[in-house]
Amino acid sequence: MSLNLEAVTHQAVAAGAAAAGTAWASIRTVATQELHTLCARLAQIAAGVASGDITRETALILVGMARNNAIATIAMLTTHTVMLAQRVVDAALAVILHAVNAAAGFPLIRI
Amino acid sequence: MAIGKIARWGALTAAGPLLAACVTLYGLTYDPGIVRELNEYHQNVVAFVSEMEARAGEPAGAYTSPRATEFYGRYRGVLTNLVVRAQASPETQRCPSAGLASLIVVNIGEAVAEAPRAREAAREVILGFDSQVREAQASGVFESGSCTVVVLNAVLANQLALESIHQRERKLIPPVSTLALALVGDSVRIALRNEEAKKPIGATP
Repeated sequence: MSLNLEAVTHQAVAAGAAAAGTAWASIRTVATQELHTLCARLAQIAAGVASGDITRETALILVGMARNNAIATIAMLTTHTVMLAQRVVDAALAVILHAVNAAAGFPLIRI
Repeated sequence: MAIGKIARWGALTAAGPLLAACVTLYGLTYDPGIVRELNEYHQNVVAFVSEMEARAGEPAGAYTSPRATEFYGRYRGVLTNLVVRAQASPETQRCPSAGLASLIVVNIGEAVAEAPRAREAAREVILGFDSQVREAQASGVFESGSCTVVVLNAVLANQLALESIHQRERKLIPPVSTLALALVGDSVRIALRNEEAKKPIGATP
């Protein structure tokens, strides 16, 4: 069994980086959009309180809703990040699997 | 916990040649049922608020109206069931969201202070936001499950907040109803994005 470890490692890292590339850009876009929306909502609540259209008591409920969304945003970004890690690992493992099976001459590792 | 880890490593070593090439971290699985229920809920809450705004000041637009009673009761059940459904799923990670939320507060403060004619009110809003985040951290209500449980809990909490506003104000009128509906919509979108992240690559909606 002959396996070029250096070449396989390089290919596995490249595959992982490629998998991370588009996913990471997507996470950044989602995070920016959601945090921008959160800021806008708090600004709208503040403007409503300042103009007298929203009472302080109701503003507190609305701020609580924004708080819920801030916490949910972090939870959602955590899911995105875990899935990104999973895709990176899967892409790298696929390269290693192919190389090891080719070197062994039979399907040593199976999915 | 440590014994469990050692046992798992032992099993993996024994399996040897059957080493899996694909991993599933924390058991995150896309659930199309959650997406369907969230979309249906959002369509109905938009229609409901629009109807309540049109009938504001009439008995049909009151919190005590049969339509409002039916709507709030129905979605308390539907959204609570969604949370339970997520709790029963194989997702195992404990979400760190409430603990990290306070990091957002610092950055939001400056942005909100830019709101025209609202500097004083903005400070109050940010202080309220900050204390509510701390309250959530202390209660641990948002840290009691996976991240999917957390995002669905936020949708449920915001639906209950909309109900609470209707009860307090006795009617739903802009700009309060507009803002409340926007915040409900935000929580639904965040939950949809959470589910979307778990969708296998190449899967159809």
